[in-house]
Amino acid sequence: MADHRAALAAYERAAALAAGHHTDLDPATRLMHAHAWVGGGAPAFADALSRHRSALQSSLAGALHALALLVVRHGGPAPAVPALTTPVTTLAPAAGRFQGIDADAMTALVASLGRVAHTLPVAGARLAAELSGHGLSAEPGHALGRIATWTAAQSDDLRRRLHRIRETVPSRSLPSGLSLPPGLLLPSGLAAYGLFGAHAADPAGAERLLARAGAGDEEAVTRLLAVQEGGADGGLAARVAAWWTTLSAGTRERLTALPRFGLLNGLPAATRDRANRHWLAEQRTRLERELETATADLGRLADPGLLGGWERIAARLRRIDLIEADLRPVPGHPEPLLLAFDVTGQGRLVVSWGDPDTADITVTSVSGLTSGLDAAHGDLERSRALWQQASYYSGDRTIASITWLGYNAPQLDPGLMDPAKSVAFASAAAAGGKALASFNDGLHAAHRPSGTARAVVIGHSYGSLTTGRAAVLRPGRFADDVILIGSPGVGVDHARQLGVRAEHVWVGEAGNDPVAALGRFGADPGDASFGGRHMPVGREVFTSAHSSYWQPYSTSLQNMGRIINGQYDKIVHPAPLNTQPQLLMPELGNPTER
Amino acid sequence: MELIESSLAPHACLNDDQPDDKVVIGRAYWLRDVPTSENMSISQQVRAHWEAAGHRIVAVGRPGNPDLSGESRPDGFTLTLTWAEGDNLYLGAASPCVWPDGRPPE
Repeated sequence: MADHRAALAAYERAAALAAGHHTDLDPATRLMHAHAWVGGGAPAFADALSRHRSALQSSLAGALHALALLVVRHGGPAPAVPALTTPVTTLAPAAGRFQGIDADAMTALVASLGRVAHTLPVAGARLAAELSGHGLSAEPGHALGRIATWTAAQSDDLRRRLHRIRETVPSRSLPSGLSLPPGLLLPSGLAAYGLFGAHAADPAGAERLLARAGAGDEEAVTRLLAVQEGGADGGLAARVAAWWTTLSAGTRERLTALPRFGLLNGLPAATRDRANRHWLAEQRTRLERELETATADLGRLADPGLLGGWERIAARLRRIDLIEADLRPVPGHPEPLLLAFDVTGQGRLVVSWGDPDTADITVTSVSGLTSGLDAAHGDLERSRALWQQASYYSGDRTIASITWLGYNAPQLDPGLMDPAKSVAFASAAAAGGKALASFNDGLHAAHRPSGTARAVVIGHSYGSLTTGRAAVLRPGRFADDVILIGSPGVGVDHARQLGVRAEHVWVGEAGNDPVAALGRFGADPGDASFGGRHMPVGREVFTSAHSSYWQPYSTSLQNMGRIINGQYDKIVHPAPLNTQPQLLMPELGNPTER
Repeated sequence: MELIESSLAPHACLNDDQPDDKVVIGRAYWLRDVPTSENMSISQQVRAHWEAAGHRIVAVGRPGNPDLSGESRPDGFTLTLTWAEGDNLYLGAASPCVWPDGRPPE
């Protein structure tokens, strides 16, 4: 009969190994759970880490149970096998829209994994020896070895990536003017696709396309822009931002000369501006040459059939003229940044007054333009008026005001009612919503990390439908506040269906706007049942129904400025019409709300 | 009262039913050296003045907020008294859409 004391000694040695190693992967798992919100490859890596942690604990438990059973078989008392599972809370912090992550936390993650990779193989070998020394399967010990190998591979990959990130992300990531806290803040997108890139799913093959684009492949840029236009991949902009940080200065320089490169969401705003202006100038040169040829052909061949082609070229050149005029700096306003443009089709134009990568508050205005680029001037004026007003109220905080004309609205006369037009507008808004969602992703991805920065989107007229469509595509991640003005509907029946908290959906009255004639899209946002908050615009039946919402010093412009700044308690409300009570009761010093 | 220089530049007329080449003329002034404790009193005085002049009070702030939004009669200027960040009040007015030279172009 075998002596149970040898088995018991083996059990106790194994129990010591278990005590020393069963929480080995807890620190890393906790860190990953706290940061999985960054998206990209983080959730998948967090899952994989969790699984390996479970496997570690169950392998140790299995070994102890086998040895305990052995002790009993040899006639000894059953050792009390301790519970080896430990809880890891899965509470994810509510992340702000532009929240960064602490690079030091990532360094701690890498260090923790590195320690495990170093010490676990020895523990696994010793465990295997204890088990096989008593004729038991050594599998738990081998499992530890495999977990250690996996951990080492992850640690190496993450360490290399983190090192490269630390080298390339300048300390401007920290808010300027504040006393510098220790450590570096990483943009969350950079963590998502740069640090945890090995674990990020890539259904559209974006990494390969980016690699080809980096080598100067124009077609890869075109393909990326097509993916971007589809709005399906919410992580594409973050991936682009992460990729940009890995490039050398020489490569970046070359890329800003690549056609349409500046249209990629996720690139820094200054880069987009340079690349787009370059592309604009290139297109001008090419179109002028084409026009010369077309003019000569017309003169030579006297073929009226050539006129269409000539007019198309002339129309594009006119749009370039318009864009260049619109980009002229305006005194008292920041330099305009050209974030996107297209002179084909009805044209597109996205311009920012103020730098959206550093602004404390970014407001994006989506108009319901039905005339394309040719009427962009008014929208740029509106954005400037918004910038001006928001800046009056913002104190030290900086504002970026963006005009987003990023989709093709159908060229239809809004004055005539026709159900077919409703369909055309709805489908244009759906396509536009995807493009707007992608653009919005880009604003988040390119912004320096900030726990306090704000994003507001204003949808005017049919632009509010496009805005609604975009919001639905990015629930919980779209904007801090959404303002809908003169809206014929946003495609949903209740404000919360926009994926924005209902108390942050603001509706200016539709009033006498002619858009109502074009039919409705979902519930009337001005109706109480929609659940949005009322933003007074100071227009009633008695006053001019057509004065602009952006009229300087108007109730509407000022209230937009208040909402942009998050100063909800300073919104002004309609004054009572009847001032008689004031005269009869002069002790009522302050006006009461209606 | 300190003129806000940037308020002088004409704005484009953005009304849907007006020609593009009309403009909006505005002017705004900081009310400097006013203690914060006087803000509500100033607001009441401005409001009384506008009402006495026959202008319409369009909107007001919540109790304790000095902001006022008005419309002049008969010429339809937008009027405002607003508290801006940094504890400054400003007074502003903007015209309806007008021709830059006072009359339509030839």
